[in-house]
Amino acid sequence: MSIVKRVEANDSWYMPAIFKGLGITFKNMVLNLVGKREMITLNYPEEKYEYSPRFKGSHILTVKKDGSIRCTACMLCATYCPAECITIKAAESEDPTVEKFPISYEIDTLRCVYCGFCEEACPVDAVRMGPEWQMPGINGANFVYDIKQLARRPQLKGGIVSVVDEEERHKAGI
Amino acid sequence: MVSLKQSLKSFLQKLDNKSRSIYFLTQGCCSIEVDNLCSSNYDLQRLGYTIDIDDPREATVLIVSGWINPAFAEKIKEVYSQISGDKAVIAVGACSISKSPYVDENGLKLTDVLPVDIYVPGCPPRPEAIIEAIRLLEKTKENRETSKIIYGAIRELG
Repeated sequence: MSIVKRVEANDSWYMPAIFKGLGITFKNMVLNLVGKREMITLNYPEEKYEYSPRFKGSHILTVKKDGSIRCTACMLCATYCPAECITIKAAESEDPTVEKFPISYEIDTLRCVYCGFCEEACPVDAVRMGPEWQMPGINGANFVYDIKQLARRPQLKGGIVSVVDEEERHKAGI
Repeated sequence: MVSLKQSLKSFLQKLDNKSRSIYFLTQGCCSIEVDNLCSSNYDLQRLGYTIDIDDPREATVLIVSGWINPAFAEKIKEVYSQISGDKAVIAVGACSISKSPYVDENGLKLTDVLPVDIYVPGCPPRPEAIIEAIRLLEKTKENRETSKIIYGAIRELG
């Protein structure tokens, strides 16, 4: 049995409902102006969002304690990379304790998807994902980052020292 | 006299404010980040950009993101031809910059379809990176054809 509901007098008058709604808007506006609640909006250039330490940003090549690059050019990251954006050129070192080292280590940031697989694949903690988010650039700018930019850019303040030490590694027999 | 000069300068800069209206052609997961820009978290209108545009004829900046197939490329060309005045294109994300996030031969680059002004690398990039890209555009804007006259006049004022 269907019931037809007729329009009552209270429903047909729409003006009270409009003022009720405007009252809620005015209340929220005053509360926001006084500052009793936190605003969701981030005023970007003035205040910056704090990302977690696990954030996957632009890459970092770590260094040894003496300042040379930790990477051993084992090519695990370049093989594992799903976007194939890493190119490594290896060379023989004059130092007898070092087997080989990368002459050039380049990451094409236009191809990179920042998945973090290179960080997972690396056995000696040579590649890390940094805290800075990726920077935009004009067409024709330098997007292929080399060792100078990956390991010794000014944001890193002289380079980040790797956790894995060469002598401890030899003692453990790795 | 100094205040007169400054007021003239600001008036001339306001004439060139046309490039602050943005048309979005987004698909894929980068569109979530671009929508986040327009929402209350990163309010783009707070910085003076108009984003609620339905017609590309009113816009001057085009933001493209997502995987581009030949059918979508035709639509991008259609929209680009309708944009008036000095045009600028921003490519957002790894898909539109270099075919697809992973290595395969399918898809098109945006550079095959249009001349791109600014790249925003990342998969997907942060909303702050897209704001930085739009601000970069304003710095490069001085080299554009119609705004060359305006910025030349500003320089002559000193």
